[in-house]
Amino acid sequence: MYYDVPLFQIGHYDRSYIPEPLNPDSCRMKVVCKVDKQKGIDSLFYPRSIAVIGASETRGKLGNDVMRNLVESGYEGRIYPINPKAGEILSYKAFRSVKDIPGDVDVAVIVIPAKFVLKAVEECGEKGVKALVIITAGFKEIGHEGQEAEKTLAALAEKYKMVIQGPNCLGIINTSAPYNASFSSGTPKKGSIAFASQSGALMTGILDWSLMEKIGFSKFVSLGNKAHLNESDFIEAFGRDPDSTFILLYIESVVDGRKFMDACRKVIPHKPIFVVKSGVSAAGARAASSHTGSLAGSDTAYDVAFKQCGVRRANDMAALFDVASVYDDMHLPSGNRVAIITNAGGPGILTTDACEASGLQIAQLTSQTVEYLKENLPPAAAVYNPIDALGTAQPEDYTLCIEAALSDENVDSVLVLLTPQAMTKQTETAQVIVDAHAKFPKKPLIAVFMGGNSMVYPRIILTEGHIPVFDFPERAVHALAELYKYTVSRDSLKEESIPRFKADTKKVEKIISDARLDKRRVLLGSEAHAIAEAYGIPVARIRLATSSEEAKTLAEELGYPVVLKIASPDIIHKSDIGGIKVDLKTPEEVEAAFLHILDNAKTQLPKAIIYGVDVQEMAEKGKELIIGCSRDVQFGPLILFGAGGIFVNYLKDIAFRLAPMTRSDANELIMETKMGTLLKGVRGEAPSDMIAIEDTILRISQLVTDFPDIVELDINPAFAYEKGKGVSAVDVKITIGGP
Amino acid sequence: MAKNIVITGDTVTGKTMVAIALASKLRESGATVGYFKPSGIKSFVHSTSEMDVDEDAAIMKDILGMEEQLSCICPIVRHMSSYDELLRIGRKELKQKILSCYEQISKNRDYIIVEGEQSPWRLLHVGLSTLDITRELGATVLCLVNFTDISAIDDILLQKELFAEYGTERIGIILNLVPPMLKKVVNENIRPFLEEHGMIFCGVLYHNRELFSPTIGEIMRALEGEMVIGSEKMDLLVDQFIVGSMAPENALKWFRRSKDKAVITSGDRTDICLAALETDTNLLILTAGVGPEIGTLTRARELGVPIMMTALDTYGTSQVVDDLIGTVTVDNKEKIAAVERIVGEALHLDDFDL
Repeated sequence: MYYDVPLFQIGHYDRSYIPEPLNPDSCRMKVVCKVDKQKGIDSLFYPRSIAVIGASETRGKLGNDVMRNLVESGYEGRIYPINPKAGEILSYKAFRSVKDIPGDVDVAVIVIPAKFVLKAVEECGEKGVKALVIITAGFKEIGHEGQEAEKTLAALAEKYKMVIQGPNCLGIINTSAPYNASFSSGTPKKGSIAFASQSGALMTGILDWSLMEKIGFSKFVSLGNKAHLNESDFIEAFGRDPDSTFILLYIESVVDGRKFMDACRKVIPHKPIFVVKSGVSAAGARAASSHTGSLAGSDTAYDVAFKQCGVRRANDMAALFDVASVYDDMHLPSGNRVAIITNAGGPGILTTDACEASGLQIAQLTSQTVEYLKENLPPAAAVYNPIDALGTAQPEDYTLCIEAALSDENVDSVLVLLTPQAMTKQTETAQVIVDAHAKFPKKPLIAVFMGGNSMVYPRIILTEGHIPVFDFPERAVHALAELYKYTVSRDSLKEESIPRFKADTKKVEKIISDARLDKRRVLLGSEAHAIAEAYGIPVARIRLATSSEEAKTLAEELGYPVVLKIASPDIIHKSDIGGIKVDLKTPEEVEAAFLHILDNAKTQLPKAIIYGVDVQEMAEKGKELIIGCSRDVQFGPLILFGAGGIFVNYLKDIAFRLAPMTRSDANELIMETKMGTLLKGVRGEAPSDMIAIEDTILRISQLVTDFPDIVELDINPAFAYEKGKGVSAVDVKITIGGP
Repeated sequence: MAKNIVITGDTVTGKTMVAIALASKLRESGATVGYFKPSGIKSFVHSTSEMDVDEDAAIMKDILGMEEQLSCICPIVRHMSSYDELLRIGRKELKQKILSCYEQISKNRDYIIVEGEQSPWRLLHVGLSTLDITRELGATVLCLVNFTDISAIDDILLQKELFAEYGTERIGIILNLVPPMLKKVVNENIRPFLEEHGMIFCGVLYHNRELFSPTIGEIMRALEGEMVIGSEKMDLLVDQFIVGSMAPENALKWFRRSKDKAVITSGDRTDICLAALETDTNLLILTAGVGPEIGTLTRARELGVPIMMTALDTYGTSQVVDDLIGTVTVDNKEKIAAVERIVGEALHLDDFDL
């Protein structure tokens, strides 16, 4: 079922409001989702009553921590502790079972031993509870029985039309409800960042740190084992949540790559999503696999998925929160031109370097600004960007520089650097920065106060005055650059249709099912080429010969010169065993080559099963490309493009996109490689047939989307010719999966 | 009187498989079937201090549930210790032994499958070659010929000539180890060629991986391994072995290429284990005594994939299993069903006078 909800309602929000399917006219955007999950999350975010199953009077028990957090967070709804001993817990009347509660229950938090959880969930279902937060651990992470129990949990959720967060999670905190149904130590400050994390322990660290850094959160969600609700559901919910303007995620894997991308694409036009995804390195991926017990998709696929749906990936948690702290206080920059104001040359140069490296531009100040600065600063000051007001700079000097920069039309954001020199007045300078921002609130203004003891108090002034402040310039520049890049990726998300080409799908089906009958996973060259041909990809034609006589006939048919290649799924590197003979011009040469190739294969790989020898027309040499696809376990077909030939693994001039692709995607994919530049024609060389290359990429994208059974595909090389002359796929390899 | 069918051929592999399939076919039609191997070779694995045992005879006795002694099913067991080990005993005595055992075996049975020596001319030196035995018993001949390339037509003709010389005019031919590329040639050209030359075409055994694949049970015995889970799947065949030591991002690509494989890796390589489980894997072999992590175990249990542990390291394991593939031993009951099915389907005995 689909329903429409108003996205990003600005202004008043009725806290007791539980969204019902709404009048489509009131919608800004159509959201495709299952009714129960989003509706369930709404109940989860704004419950009118909460039951704590496993609530305890005894300090040190989780059930006590959760109860106390709930009471102390100032939750105004009804609280029902559930404990078999009944009585009173923290002055609230306790019930033996959730079914004994007289009124409705919106949310039940479960903190009881794992073996009792299923029964409690069943009771909640019968009671009509809308959302469950299962904090209890001891599920998938302990093995098979735990995993089976999780499957039952998901089934119960569907049966009773409720949603389940967790199990094995820290809980949930909503500062705008407000309520804290977790066992965290403390409740975060109210703010506009929505944060979901696959690691509960990490959240506790962040929460504690955020209290010191004065970073506020709107929602704080621990995802746990994601038995029912997962990151995609929460992204969509955060997207709809008017209290959240910025979405942060820590994940080790996603449950459903496609759903994740769809959810992000919907939200990105309105709110930034920043993600830290761990398991980048091989060792990290191994650790992630062993931690989550599931095979993580390739990190490349994650990278590409983030890129294609406009999500920014942060390399580490510090970077994630640097960005968050800037966004929390500032508007998004409208461009990448930065003005740097400093009282010392060195830091100014460092910052300039950092800006260039991060893709930010050093703004060229208008002549009026330059003139104004010249008139008002000491003659030794540098009035071009970076503006160096010298070590003697007083708060007034800072004010005039900052205001000049903020009002300069060539400047999109301002970085203010301060080092503690003899005449520097740190505290007063901090104050003038706060004042300047109040005067010009639209442009991002970031402070970098380099120092230790003398900077403690000034930093407090800045933080309280909503100015993001950093110790060193690189982090500030990185955070600013990331926000700028978000705006770029947000603006580049376009509604563009996926092109479709005519294709002979029947033929492809037949080839795949024949190979399957033969119990093969790797298709023969002739089969792979036929599949490419069926999708209109120009190929150097190839036919399988099982005798030298047949080879000669086929060579005649294809036209000389021809290439002969050994046909055996067991032989991967054909040329290494003398399994390829090229440029054969006569029937005699073909016959000799046929016998020679078979001889080589038999002597070098006697166990290989040989299907014959492929006879192929010889393609005219062009620019060598590789176009391939590998099906990622999470995100589906991952298309690769780059410089082809035998040096692919060494040159590594390749780029990736997830299929299905638009024509812009295909073009960007090509242009991301150095080969892309070469194809446009360099040093007087004629440009290559870009349209034909794009078409080939798009046709492959369509093929692998149409046929999920194709798990690996490689065209290497494909020759690209001059504009108008097309391309030719010389060697096509396909591996199939499935039954 | 029992009807005798001699299975012969100059092949190391295949004869016993044909014997198994043939026995199964005959028994299906209601006939009683016995097995006789006049002379065999001592298997040091199967022999005991009291008795020299030929491996094929042992397995056939078992399959057919024969009550006769192994020393009767295969009366002569060569040690291959010296060229004259049989000459010293003498033809007369040996022949006597063979015939009296045959008599015992053939009693009350409709068919006796007689498995020949490694090649029809072996034991010519004591006049007890398969050719001699065939003539002696007046048997029908089913001859296996390895047909790995077309030059093997001369081998076929040689067999025909040999048996004709010994009085058998029409022999049945089964082509063995035929690569897929010769499928067309075999059906369109070789078959009529054989028939023109007065032979009976009795089928083709293609180079079928399944026949050459060890079962999990066989692998476990070879590795002295231990099953962590899946001990009920000992008869599952393993087609290929892949050592999983690659970077995880490359693992899927390689694992996807093969069906029914075993992946050899270390238990702490959860990424490799999970990638293997994600593809068509029949067995995880965890080496060096490092057991699986809980995630691997959970997923394997969910998918029903057996996990085996061995004390050998990855290199040692791959050495051992490499020897298991590509050679057929029927020293394992689990595989009998596959042999009966695949070889049974390949045999065409309609034109053959049984």
